[in-house]
Amino acid sequence: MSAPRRIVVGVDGSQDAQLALRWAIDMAGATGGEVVAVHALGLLAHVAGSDLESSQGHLDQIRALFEGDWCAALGASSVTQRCLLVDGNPVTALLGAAAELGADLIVVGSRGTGGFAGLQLGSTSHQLVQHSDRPVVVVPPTGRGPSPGA
Amino acid sequence: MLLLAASPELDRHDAGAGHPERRARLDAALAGIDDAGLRDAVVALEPRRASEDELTRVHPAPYLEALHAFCDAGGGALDPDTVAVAGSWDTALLAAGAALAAVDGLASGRGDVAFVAARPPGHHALSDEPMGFCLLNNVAVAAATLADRGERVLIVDWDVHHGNGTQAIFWDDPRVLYVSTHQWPLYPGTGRIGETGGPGAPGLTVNVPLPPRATGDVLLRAIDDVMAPVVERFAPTWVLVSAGFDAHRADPMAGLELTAGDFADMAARVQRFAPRTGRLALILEGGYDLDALRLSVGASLAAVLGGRFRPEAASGGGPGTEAVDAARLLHVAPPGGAGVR
Repeated sequence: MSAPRRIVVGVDGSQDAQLALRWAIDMAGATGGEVVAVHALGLLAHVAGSDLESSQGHLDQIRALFEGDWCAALGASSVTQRCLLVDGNPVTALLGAAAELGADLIVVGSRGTGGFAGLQLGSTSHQLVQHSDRPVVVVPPTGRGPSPGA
Repeated sequence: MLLLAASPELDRHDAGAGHPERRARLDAALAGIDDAGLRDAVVALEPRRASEDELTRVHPAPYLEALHAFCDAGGGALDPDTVAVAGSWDTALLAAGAALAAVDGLASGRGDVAFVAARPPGHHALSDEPMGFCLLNNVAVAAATLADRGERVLIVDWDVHHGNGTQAIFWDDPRVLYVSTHQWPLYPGTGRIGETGGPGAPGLTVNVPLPPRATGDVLLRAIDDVMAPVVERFAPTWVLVSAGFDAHRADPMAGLELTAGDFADMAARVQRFAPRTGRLALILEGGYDLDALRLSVGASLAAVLGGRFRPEAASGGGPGTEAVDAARLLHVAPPGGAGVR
């Protein structure tokens, strides 16, 4: 495999996603590639609070969190970068974005905000590995993946 | 007569405090029947659970086993939107079973129209993946059962979200015509106009993606100008409606501007697609504002049963006619042109 030039990474505010993002940044830094951070907008992104108010403000808040806190490490880096909000569940959003952008690699944490430990059902990383037609890197909770410099 | 498949007293699916997909939705839908003055027309169907044989027409056994085990283990978050608890498996079986009871009740001549008020909803559920509040694809299980009996099934999906699961399940199946109006862009990100079916069923997936603030007149145009010619060509023997009511203007989940009057008009139009009385079932999908859900269910069912309940006037003047025209151009052969065949 040649050095990945475009890396799609799933970002959902979880600690595992932060590790995946840092790994993707390191890889892009080593290869001169681009990092595209993707966050999937689910159904619940469109309502705010227990009163179920429809809220553009809530969507704006998610966007601000995504582009700010969740992608802070990306913003602080010098790699070429983009942040994309995509409608859908995490698996379809990441697969779709990777296909549309011609990404060479998809990077995710081992477990995001969905899924249930010990069962494959609902695991974004497991489904990505099953369905992706391009390489997928699953960064373990220790943050140690294959060395970007290798 | 209205065949009603609903067993809210057996519902043990709880997506958690503050989750919009909640049991109170069923109470609201059923209250709509009372508001519409239809209670005397109701024939209540006996609750039943879908069997494994019935479910495996749509969902592979390993998926069913994994979902069952997940619920038995106490459940949890399946994705950021979708939650299951210990009671979710049985409740999902009852929801799929309700859709089956509805079509079986109609097939045996017990009623004119059926309404399924069950949850969790189904149209986002893929054959092997839960998503978008959905665990089992209720309308797909009913449609697949009918198709296996030799029927030609039309599924009209007017939920504000695209029914990605139903589309995927019947993508390449020439026995089922899937037509959807939905807001776009919006979750789940599928339902583009160019998604028209697989090589085994070209043109048998019809998507009319509509912009935010689209109104009822635009939806009716989609039914009249796009769906009607395609449906006439397909000649369905059954009509199932993925009846979500979240395109209502009060619904918090999306941005279309429909009213209860619009849903009544849409239901009346779709009823004409059925070849005869007793071949139309409306199956609840979304709809998260309880008052809007109550009024819209009541108005829709009144419209197909000859009632007069119309608590809100139709809406009009919103955007989206260009999208309807584009879909018409693609799916309905214009003079000198070619639609999808």
